[in-house]
Amino acid sequence: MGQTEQQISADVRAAKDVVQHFVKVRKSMRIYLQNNEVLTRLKQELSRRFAAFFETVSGPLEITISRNDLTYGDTVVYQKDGTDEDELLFQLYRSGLRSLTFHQGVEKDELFKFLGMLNQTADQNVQDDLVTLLWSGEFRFIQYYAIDDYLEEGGAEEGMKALEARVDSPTPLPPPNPEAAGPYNEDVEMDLSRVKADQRLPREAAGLSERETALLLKEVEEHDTAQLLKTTVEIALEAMVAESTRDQENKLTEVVIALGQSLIDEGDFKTAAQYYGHIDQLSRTEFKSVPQVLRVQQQIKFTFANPAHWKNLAGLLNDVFTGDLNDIPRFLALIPDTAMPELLNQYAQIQSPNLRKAFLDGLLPHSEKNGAALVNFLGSAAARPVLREVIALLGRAEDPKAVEMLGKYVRDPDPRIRREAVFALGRGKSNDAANLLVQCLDDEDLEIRTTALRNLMSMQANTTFPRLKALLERSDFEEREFQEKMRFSLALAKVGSWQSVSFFAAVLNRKSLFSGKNDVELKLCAVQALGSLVSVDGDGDQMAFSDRTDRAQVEQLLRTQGNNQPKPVREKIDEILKSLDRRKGSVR
Amino acid sequence: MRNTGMMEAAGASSRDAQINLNGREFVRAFAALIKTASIYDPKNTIFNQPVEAVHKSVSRLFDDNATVTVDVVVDEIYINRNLIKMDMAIFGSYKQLGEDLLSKNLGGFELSANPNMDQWKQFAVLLARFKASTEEGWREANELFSRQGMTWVTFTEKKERLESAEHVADVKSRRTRALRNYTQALSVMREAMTHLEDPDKIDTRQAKRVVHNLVDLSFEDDDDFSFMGLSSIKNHDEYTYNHMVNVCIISIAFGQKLGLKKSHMGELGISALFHDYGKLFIPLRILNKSTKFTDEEWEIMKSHPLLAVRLLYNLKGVSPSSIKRLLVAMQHHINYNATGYPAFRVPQKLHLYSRIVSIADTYDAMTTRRCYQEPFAPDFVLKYLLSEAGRKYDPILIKAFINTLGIWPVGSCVELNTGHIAVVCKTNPRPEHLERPYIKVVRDRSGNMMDPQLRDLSHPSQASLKIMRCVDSEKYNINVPHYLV
Repeated sequence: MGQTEQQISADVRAAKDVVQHFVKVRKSMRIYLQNNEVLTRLKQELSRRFAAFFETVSGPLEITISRNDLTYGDTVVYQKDGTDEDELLFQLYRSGLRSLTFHQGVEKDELFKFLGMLNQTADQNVQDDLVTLLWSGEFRFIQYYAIDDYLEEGGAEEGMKALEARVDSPTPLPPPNPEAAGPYNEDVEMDLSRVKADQRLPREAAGLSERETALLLKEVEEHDTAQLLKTTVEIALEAMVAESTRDQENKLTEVVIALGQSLIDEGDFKTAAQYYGHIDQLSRTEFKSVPQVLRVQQQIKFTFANPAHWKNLAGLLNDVFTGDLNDIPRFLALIPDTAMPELLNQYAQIQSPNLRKAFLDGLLPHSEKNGAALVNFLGSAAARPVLREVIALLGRAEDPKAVEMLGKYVRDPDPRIRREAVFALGRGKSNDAANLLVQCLDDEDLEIRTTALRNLMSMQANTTFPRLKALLERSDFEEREFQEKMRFSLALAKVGSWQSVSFFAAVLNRKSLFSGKNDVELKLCAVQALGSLVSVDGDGDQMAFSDRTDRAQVEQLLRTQGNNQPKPVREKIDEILKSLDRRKGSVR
Repeated sequence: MRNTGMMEAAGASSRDAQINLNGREFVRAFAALIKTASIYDPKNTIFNQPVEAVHKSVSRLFDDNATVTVDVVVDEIYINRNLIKMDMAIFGSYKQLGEDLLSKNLGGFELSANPNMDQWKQFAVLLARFKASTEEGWREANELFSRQGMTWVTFTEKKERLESAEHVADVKSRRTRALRNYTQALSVMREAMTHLEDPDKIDTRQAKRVVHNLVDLSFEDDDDFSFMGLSSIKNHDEYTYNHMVNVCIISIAFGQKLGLKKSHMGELGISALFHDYGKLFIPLRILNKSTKFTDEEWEIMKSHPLLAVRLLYNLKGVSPSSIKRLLVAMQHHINYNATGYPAFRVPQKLHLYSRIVSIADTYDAMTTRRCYQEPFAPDFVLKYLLSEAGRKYDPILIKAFINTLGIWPVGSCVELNTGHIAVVCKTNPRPEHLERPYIKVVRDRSGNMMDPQLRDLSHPSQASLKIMRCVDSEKYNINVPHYLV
């Protein structure tokens, strides 16, 4: 007997364990965001407790719901503890639920879907009640009993009796109101001329081929939200044109915007981008120059241009976004430039580095016209944690203030900041940017110097030629590593093009440069630079000289250098000339 | 405690739907397991997944019963004496499992416990290889399986019909429930129509509850109850409401045949119920007019689908189901070949539900007496639908619809070669017998009332009976719903 009692209490204990933790998880789901760690742990614990229950008890966990408590068997396992609106008991009981049964084998997915529904409907603003939602949930392991007596209001019993009487009679009862003609209410036009009335329906009329069945099943399984919304917006625009009053038009405009907004709120940036993209396309095709639709477009633009509209964008990315990273730049492209200040604030709040990177990609096109906003943001405290990343955007900005700001960063004591700044400068095209890059060539950090050179080369900033040349002519230049000297020389050739020929010729012809100890190195650099002017680069493009005469001059210069130079320089010249000959041969 | 009648009713109904869901899952999983067992070596790890699925679905079935029975009756599968409905989505598994068991001369089996996974595998492998050498395959199988220590399974003989003691009580309560659901649907729609001024007030939650109950009911279709038959309830006086409810019922039955998920049947049902939502905005003087429309009135009438866009006004966010409701209300008069109304700048991609409701709408409208028309016989309406297949209606769906209703549609009155008059109650589940439905003979040659017994015309004992033609139920004074519900 004692053992049985123990057994019973073990059951009840296990049930209590489950229910109490269940209540806790439900509350936590309202506090914590979906991906929160604490919540994840709580959920795991709930699964564990369910498992423990089914280890103790062989039957299902059946909970009876009353106004004031939840019971398992005859024991109360949860009691009302407050009076606030979203209180569990109130919610369950009010919606008509009277019992819940969890069967062994209930999976996490089903359990959390169930909990999600509880929380969803605790919000007064939703369109479905709990029972409706549970019904659609198609649970296999969770069962519920609900009463729906509220459907019985308003003389239903009477109607029921009348209907029963009508169905009970084996012969038709006369209509209750034989005088009434009934509404005309016809809404279809029928053409009966093709009906083969005297023939039997052929069996083939019902004969679905396998292909047809497959087509049908495919459509039954299909759930294309984007397509649904596209059709909806087409309908809404059509109706908008048909609706005569401005009031109706405004309502529909609101709807069109709200539909897209709810996609954004769900973190479905991809579908949102498709949705707004579709509206844009419609306004240029089927609805071209329809004033109502143009007004919708303007309204969307106006809404999106408002920085305040994007206050929660980072929150969405952190908490609910599950899409592809590429969706983010595509989505940001929809937003007008004017929202940039807020977008930057949001950027600083994004947690995952991958999301931040994708967001940054999306901010790049907005940076062009947004130099001032970037400069402002970088000056704010919010920018500090993401300073280095945002510096990259400055480079794209056309505003001179942005370059000015970068000028400040290339002198920053922190080499990491200088590195970002010098990288960003490569995105600009202005002389100011190029001059700053030249400054960077004296930076103590090799990576910065190298990046600066590479940027100068790709910008082909020929106004910087005199300053670059001057740098090469400075005596301390001799002390740099051979590799770096080589890069400098190549950069000078690229930036200066034909202007550089005489400089390199002079280098080759001088007996000694600077201290004289690195002559060979410097001459090798000059040869290589000259060679780059007449050879083909990695992409197969002819470098620098398009003019044959110019090329021939440089080639001549190299050929006449032969005997005057030290051996390694001679060898290098030979190598270049040979490759030139080979190329000529292949051209022929 | 659960003691009110209503509560029991709602509970029973959703339980049936869940049994059907779990039963379907079992059929799918078990058919897959047997197939695996007949192809692969038992050591193959490919067994893990189907074995686990079977074990799980059976364990769920054991929660509601002390034993689990699987019966194949002719070609229907019953689990725990509940008919598992075959639809297009599980057609393959369903057919394979039924034929497989019958070919081994087994009528099914009963499990006294849920075996563990290894035992399930062993069971499947043995069953896949089993061949009966006599008519009494079930005896042979019982001997074989118990020799292998599988005492938890008992095979049963083939049977023609399944009898159940609770059945009679069930039938009565189900009929009450069905009629109650129908009444509730009517009153929800009547209520909706009173909110002409403020359509935001329409309680879609109530409508959903009603539709969900109807969907649940549709899973209880059997020899004594035809869900589709509910749509034979007509009311000339209250055409508008009855029509909405009937379109909803026909659409649900159709959706079930197509293998829609339960939740999608709910969406379809609610879309069908509100398909004429736009009519709420048509002036009553036109809507309630009892004579033919003038051209101008007809133009106004034709604007009703577009007016349904007002459904959107109160939408709180994107809910695919509310959008589908809108699409149906908008598109149900646009034809398959893009004619019809309203006209759209962008050619509409007609949603599946719109195409379904368009068919159900026409079917119910034409089979109902109207102030300007005698009702058309159901088979005539099918012929009409067929004549417009590919023009007004999706030709594939028309075929599927005729499959749902049968060559002699459920709810039609037919004359037999013997001169008797019968009501068609149920489509024959065997596609090859589509023109030999289940009927109840209700009048003898001289028009006298008869005690209606359900007859399966494809049964050899009924071979001499033939359906000659559809007749007008009113001419024979037959109240069709009486025999279907």
